[in-house]
Amino acid sequence: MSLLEIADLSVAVAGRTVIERLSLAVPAGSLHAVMGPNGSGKSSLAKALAGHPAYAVTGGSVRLAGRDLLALAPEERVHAGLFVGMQYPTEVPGVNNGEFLRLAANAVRRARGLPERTPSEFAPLLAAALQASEAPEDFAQRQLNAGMSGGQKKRNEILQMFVLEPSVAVLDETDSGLDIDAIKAVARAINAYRRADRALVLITHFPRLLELVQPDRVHVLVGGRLVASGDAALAARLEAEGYERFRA
Amino acid sequence: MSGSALELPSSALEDWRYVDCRPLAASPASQATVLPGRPCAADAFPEPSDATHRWALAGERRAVQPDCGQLLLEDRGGCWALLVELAPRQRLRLCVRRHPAAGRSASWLHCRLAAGSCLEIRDEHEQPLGVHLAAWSVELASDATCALGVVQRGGLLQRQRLDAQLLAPGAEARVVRLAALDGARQAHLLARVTHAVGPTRSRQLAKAVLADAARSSFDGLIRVLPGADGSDALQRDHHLLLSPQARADSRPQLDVRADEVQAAHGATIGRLDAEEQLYLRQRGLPVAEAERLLVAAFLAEAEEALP
Repeated sequence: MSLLEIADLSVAVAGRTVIERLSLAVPAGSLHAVMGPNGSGKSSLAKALAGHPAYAVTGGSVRLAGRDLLALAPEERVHAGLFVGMQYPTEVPGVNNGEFLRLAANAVRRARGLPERTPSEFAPLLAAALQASEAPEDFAQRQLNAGMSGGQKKRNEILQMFVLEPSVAVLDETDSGLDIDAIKAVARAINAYRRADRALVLITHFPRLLELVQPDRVHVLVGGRLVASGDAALAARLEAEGYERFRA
Repeated sequence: MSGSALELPSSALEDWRYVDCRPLAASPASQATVLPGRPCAADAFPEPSDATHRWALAGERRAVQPDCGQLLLEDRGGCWALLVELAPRQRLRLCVRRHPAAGRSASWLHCRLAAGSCLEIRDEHEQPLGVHLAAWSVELASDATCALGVVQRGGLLQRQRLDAQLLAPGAEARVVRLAALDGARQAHLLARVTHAVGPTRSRQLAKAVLADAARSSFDGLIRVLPGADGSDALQRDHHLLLSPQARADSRPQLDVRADEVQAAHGATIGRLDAEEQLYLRQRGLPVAEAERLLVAAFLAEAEEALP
């Protein structure tokens, strides 16, 4: 059984179907890429997995390590081991990033019956996460995404992933809005996060990131449906040919 | 409390339009506040201009010229009026707290700040019960500064009127309000800042969070008198409603009669941002914790600005 199992998933927004009977199995230890043109439903998939109330699941199932993810509230999905890095992370002015990260990590620990960490216990862990994610050191003192550039917000999402240590991470266009150096840093961080007991899904429409992060599988999403799957060579073909031939 | 013989304020009065005065009549009389200083004749006080003021003057009146840097006053209830005079360049921090047994009080406080003096007032009401009306005013001479902070977290009904008169160049006043109310609590702030001359500076910041059926109002006025060129005034009022039964009224006003002036105001009444709340939940915070964090973030600016 795969760590993340999406079976026949359909999603609607305001009555309009945006994902249609999508099935995807991501085993532990692997990294899958979901690619597709603008408007193909990539972000809808991420939002539905994260439990956004506007993205109604109209059919199918999603299991994380065998647990029915769709039966869980957004925060419970995180406690179960899911992390969805957003394409446009929400700005939360007035909330200190470092303090937020501690509260979030503690919420996950509490839900798992583990003791919460005090600020002094958390500080070295945060320092290690900052280093591993290659996030700028001042991120702990910043506000949560407020006042950050688009690229900084993406890097903050990666930092959050390292703090929350999910078993399944879905990263929605983490590479968009990043300059070349930042893409390389994010790619190194993603590679560092890969582990035999973790599964990652990268959503992107540029193959550039996939030259730096070798995917085990590449899936093509067009019009809300998976129209092709293959190995890393598929990403290279997309780079050369575009998405046109997959359109109905 | 001798105030019972006097006419109670009523929401029929313009300055009381947002106040539901019913808890006032129902609240019990209480013990009297012990005031510092020496007894003071009635004519040492300006003419009453406000219902609270009239009420407060029915009680004990005292005047004090503090010789220390800090004055602590426990409002135990009753009617009281206090006149505080600061010498040139004197600094004073005045803290007023409500006693748990204070049923109701009406207070009038008038501070005269001589040149270069500095006054900080912090008025805190965190007791569960009590009805408190206050009308406090400050007159500032040249280069005098005052910071008036009001923390409204408890009480059945409280209404604070703060009046700052910037009478000479270089005077500066700061008014900060932080309110966090639940149940059927009511808290009101009426702020009046007058720039009589320029250059003078004033800042007003009010933040209130209302849960359940709590009520709050902010009625703020910046008045810039003719000739007070060089005045610099800013007023901001923000309410956050956590429940559909909560009610907030905001009345920001500018009355500017001079030409070379910087004066601005802004007011918002809003609810928690659903996207922010969702984002925090998508990072593992339960609903209640996400709400607490967002409320704390909303209040943080006022918290930091309080004297």
